[in-house]
Amino acid sequence: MIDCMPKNVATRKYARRFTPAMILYVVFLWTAVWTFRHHHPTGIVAYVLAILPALPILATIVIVGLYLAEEQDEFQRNILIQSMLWGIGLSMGIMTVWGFLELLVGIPHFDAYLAYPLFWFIVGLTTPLLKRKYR
Amino acid sequence: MFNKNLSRFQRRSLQLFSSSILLTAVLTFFTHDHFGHRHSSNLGPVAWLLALLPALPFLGTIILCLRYLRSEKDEFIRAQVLLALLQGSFLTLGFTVVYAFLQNSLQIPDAPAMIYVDIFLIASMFALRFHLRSNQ
Repeated sequence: MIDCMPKNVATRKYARRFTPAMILYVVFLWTAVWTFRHHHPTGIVAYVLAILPALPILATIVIVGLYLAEEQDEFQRNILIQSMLWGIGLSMGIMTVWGFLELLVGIPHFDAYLAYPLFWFIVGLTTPLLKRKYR
Repeated sequence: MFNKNLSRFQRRSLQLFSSSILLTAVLTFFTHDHFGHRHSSNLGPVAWLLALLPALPFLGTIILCLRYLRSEKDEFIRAQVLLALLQGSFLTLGFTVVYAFLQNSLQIPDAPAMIYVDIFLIASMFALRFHLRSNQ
């Protein structure tokens, strides 16, 4: 995402916030997996540990929201918003088709954790296409 | 938004949104019902077509949204709709992330993948109502 963005204050702030979130994600994920594997926690502790790696991912959603609010370049902001709308639309479309194929044909289950990378993958694909439209 | 002050374009867009969402719901129920009465192995290639059917009006809704955002003259309303759609997307993504981690670690039941469309539409609708009301 960074490569497609202009080098300005909003981008720098985005990078400054995003990097620690990703480091925390790796740390929390490792902690959760290690604890589940070796200590088999139950009850509240298990829930807290299960949600722990999700927190930095949720933070990245907030970070993108902050970037959109702080970006002064209207063109860049519009491109990102449009590609995010395509991202949510197409990923929801794929998930709907997949959900019904699961029910009707018995294809493997679509794991919920794939929704987030799928969304960003589509955003990554549509951003250059949308930019090309304005050239 | 749902009042007499709507422009012709806004009214038309609202009608199209409602129709496509309604069509998504009808086709979803139809497909579910169809599946309920037949065994999956008997469906063959029809099953693949049936699975595609409810997704088509939803993709149509997204295209309508993008077309609406491009053509809306009222900057204020456009900003509110955009904000609501983004908040709906963020809430849906947030929900999928939390649910996925809970599912992976605690073996809670699988949710059907199409449920996320409902979450997105409901979250966006509530966000839009909230923004329009708070700006009144």
